[in-house]
Formats: sequence, structure tokens, C-alpha cells
Amino acid sequence: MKVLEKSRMRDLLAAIMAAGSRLVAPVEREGSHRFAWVDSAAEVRLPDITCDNTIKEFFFPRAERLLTYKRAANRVDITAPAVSEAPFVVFGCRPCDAAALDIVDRVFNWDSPDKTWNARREAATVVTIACSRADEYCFCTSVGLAPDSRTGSDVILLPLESGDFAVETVTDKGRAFVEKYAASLSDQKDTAAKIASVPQKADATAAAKWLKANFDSGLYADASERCLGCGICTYYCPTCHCFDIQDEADGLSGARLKAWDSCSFALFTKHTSGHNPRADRPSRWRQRIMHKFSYYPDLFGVISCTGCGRCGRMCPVDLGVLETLTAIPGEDT
Amino acid sequence: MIDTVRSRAAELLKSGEVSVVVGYREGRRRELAVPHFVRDVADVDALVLDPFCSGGLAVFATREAVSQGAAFVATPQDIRSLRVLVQEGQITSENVRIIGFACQAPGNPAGEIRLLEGSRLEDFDNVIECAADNNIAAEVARIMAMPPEERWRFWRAEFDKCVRCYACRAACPMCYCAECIADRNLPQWIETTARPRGNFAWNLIRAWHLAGRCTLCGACERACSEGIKLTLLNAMLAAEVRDAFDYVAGFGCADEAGVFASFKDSDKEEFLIDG
Repeated sequence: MKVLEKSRMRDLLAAIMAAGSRLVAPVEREGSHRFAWVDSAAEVRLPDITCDNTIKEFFFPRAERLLTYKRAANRVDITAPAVSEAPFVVFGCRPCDAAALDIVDRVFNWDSPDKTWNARREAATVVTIACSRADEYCFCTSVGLAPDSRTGSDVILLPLESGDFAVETVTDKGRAFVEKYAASLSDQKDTAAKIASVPQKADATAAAKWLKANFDSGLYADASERCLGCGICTYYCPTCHCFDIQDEADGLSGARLKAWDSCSFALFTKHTSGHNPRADRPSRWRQRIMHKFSYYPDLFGVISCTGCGRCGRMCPVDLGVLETLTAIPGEDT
Repeated sequence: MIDTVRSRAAELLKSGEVSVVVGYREGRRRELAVPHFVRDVADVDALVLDPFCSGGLAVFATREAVSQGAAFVATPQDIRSLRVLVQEGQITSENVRIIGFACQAPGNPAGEIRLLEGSRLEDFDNVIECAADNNIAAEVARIMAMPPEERWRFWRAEFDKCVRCYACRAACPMCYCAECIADRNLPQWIETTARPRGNFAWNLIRAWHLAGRCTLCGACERACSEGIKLTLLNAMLAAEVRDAFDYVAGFGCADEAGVFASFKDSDKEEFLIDG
């Protein structure tokens, strides 16, 4: 089998950049691991679990220019940026990060294909590292995934006892990647990978049935009582994809932007009339749960959650969707 | 000590003095106790008290379900925050009870905790202990000593991190406005996208709106997922207010008006009259 030796990981990353490809990988900044564009392989620091931020921002940026405009004498000149992306490699994300790409693909190719998302998906090769550790927030096995799921990855690196990684190709793009960088890999005899054990904490599929039948349940008020109403769980969620369109002007010119938005905010659903169909926290929390575990599976056939655990890990009051899933009567496994 | 907290919580609920005790229970990880609402005497045993009870529970005081009569497991800063909320007419001190505690090293497992005497807000008039104030003074001095261009770059880098999740606002006891200026969109006063200009506008207006009101409880910075130095910014404004008006938010007693809601003969008026 092909192996990436631990000591040669930086050689591989340097080779990727030397070949002219841009690179997204984990770095350490002020004590937190972040996925970021890197300029040098020396910057890369792999986290034990995963990074605080998600890789979605390299496909669906926090704020992206859709067009720019400039008012002239009797006209408005509009320029739309070209939709093209130079190839890049995402290295060192986890299976829960990669699986999210496959989930979001569906909504961004539903009624109208999202050109920039698709261009970046096309340009990216995703090299995932399977997990050898999990923390108290991880729950991939509760949403039908696993610490070594292949979904969304082009190549998966399976951690070995020695600290090296077995290299497995998942897609054609991944095969081309492994061929291109073969010089940074070596051949070893087959050894078993050391994969984390992630206990199943809830059954999201069974929960979906309960959710549908109990829309008016008091569960949401209880579950969200300590919720502060910020946007952290949505902005650090690998599958949350809601956005707002805003024009930001600078005198007579400006830009139209597509920017992250969050169903946690009251303003998200506020009508022009002043009426708000989701006027309180419990109804907004219900929306978040229903969207992930009921509406999305109904529409696209997949749960819109990968169990990465960030909604709990990053939450100022340690909330997150898992707590609500496990509070569903009869679903506590 | 936790027995004292639990028994006081039980007494307050039993006597009907309050309908809810806002305290802490164990979180999933050791370093973070989570807010917990106790309405039933039978549930008081869930309450915990350790150095990971980080403060900030005053944020719940203005919620309708809580404002009608609640006890707070409160740090000195929380007590000051509750006092500001009374000064600003958001809650009445009659409806507030306090189970006060002070930790000499918050966040440190070895941090010693002691309970504070008193139950009503008035009992804590002039409680001044507050470790955070002293620690941050040196950092404020360091930033203020920077040349303006360097200070600009420092804050620019801090605000560039902002993702506009508004966790700072959500965690702040003083951010109780029914409609925040950042949510006013007819017209859009503050750009909402996470870009430098809007990020600057948001972070500055948030800080300005807290001048003379922020008690430096640090809840905003602890909530911030990007580690923006929000307490430092708040402390810089608090220092300005202290120097100009000899006023520190939340000190004194609750029936005194806040600095920007009152006038004293000694207030400086350099902006009106020279000297």
C-alpha cells in the first residue's frame, strides 16, 4: 500500500505548492487551530480533533463579491467577476469536514446551480485525514458517518500505529493526485489503521420521525433556554449555508455581496411589515433542528449534519444540536 | 460551600422570593460550567460552583421570564452589571436576589472561591473587588503608548477576525436593546458583511455604546469565537470615562444615575468652554 510517512508530510505539502497549486491546511494561531491558506509547509500544524473553523469558507466565503457597479453620467456600469478558480488542495480536514461538502453540493445545485461554489468544488482536491482521536463533542456515528468516512474526500489518509498514514484514493481526482505526488509517498506492507472509536450518542434518523410529529413540543423552549442567540453554531457549522445579499455602496460605486447569514438571528425572518414568523429563540432553535434533521433529509435524502461537534464545542454556553437530539424522548441510545 | 449555595437557592425558591435561580451546572468539558435555570427546589442539587463558573449570568436578567423575580449566582462583576441594569430601569432591585461568590483565579482549577455576604443588591453597595480591572490596566497602557498608526494596525488586525456572529452582543448583559443598531436596515446603518469597513463600524459602535456602562465582566470576549480583544477595547473606554468623570460603571449604589444620565457641577466641559 501507498504510505505517507509522517516525516515526509511537509515534503508533500511543499511539492503541492511547488507544482503551482494553492494549499489550505491547518495552522495554529493564538492557541487555536484554523484552516487557512498557507504559503509554506512549515506553517502547517495538525490538530488532534479538527480545526475551530470549517473548510466551507474556502468554497462559500464569509463575504463574496457577486458584482461591482459604478454610476456614470447616464448609466450604471456593472462588472461581474469571472467565475474561474485556480486548482487548490485542501489538506488535513477530517471526514466530518469533507462529508459536509457533499451535503451542501445538493442545495447549491437544487433549483439554480451556484456557479462559484461549483467552480471551487471543481478546482479543489480534498485530502482528508481519518480520525485517531475523538472528543466529548464528536458524534459522527450518530448521523450515519464514521471517523473514517470517505464521503466528500478525494484522498483519505488513514493513521497508522507508526504515525505514518496509509494513502487511499477515493475519486479519479484523488487518483491523479496520488500519481502526481508519488515521489513524496512510499510503499509499505499493509498494516491496519488506528481509527478512533466514536460512541453512538443519538439516532438522528429515528429522531427525524419524532421531530415531524412533535412540531409544537415544549422541547425547544427547554433546550434553548440558555441559548444566547448568537450566530456561532451556524457560522462554525460545516453544512449551514444560508446567506444574505447586500449592496455595500461607496459613493457612486459599490458591490453586491453574498454573505453568511444565520437563522439564529431574529432579523433573519423579519418581514418588511414588522411581523416575524420566528419571533422567539425556541422557534429559531426548532428551525435549526428541523432544517438539519427533517427538512433537509426530506428534500435531499441526507441529514444536514456531520456530527463534527463544533456547534457545542464553539458555543459560549455549551449547547449544540447533540444535546437536543439526545433529549428527544426515546432516542437516547 | 456548594451546600450553602444549594440551600440558599432552595430557601429563595421555597419562600417564593424568586421563581428561578440562575446558576451553573456541569458542562461537558471541565473548563466550562454552563448556565442553568432552577425553578424547582428538587433540582437545586444540579447547581455547581467552581473556578469555571465564569460569570456573565446577568445577561439573563432582562429576559421576561427571569426579570419577575430571580436569584443569580453572581460574581462581583455580575453584581455590578445587575446594578447598572437597575440604574438603567431594565430591572427592579426588588426582583433581584444574589448568591454572590468571588474566585481569586477564575479559570484556574486551583482558584480559591469564597461566598460573598448578602442577598439583596443593596447589601453589595460598594463591592469593589474585581481582579480583571487591575490585570488589564497594563495592557491598556501598552496599547495607548503605541503610535497612532501602530494602534490602528493592531485594531484593524483584531477586527479583521470578526465573523459578525454577534456573540459579543448576545453575551453582554448591557446589550438588551429590543432592536440593535446593527439590525436597523431601513436604512442599513452598519454594513453587515464580514469585511473590514463593516467590521470596524460594528466593533466600534458596540464599544461606544458600552462606555460608562460596561462592568468589564468579560463575557463578550469569552463568547468571541475569534479571540478578539474586546475586553481591552471596553477597558480603554472605561479608562476614558474614569479619567473624565471619575466614574466606574456599577460601583456605588443602584439608585444613583449612570454617568451619561446625570450631571455634576464637577463634570468637565472642555468641549464647550476652554478649560
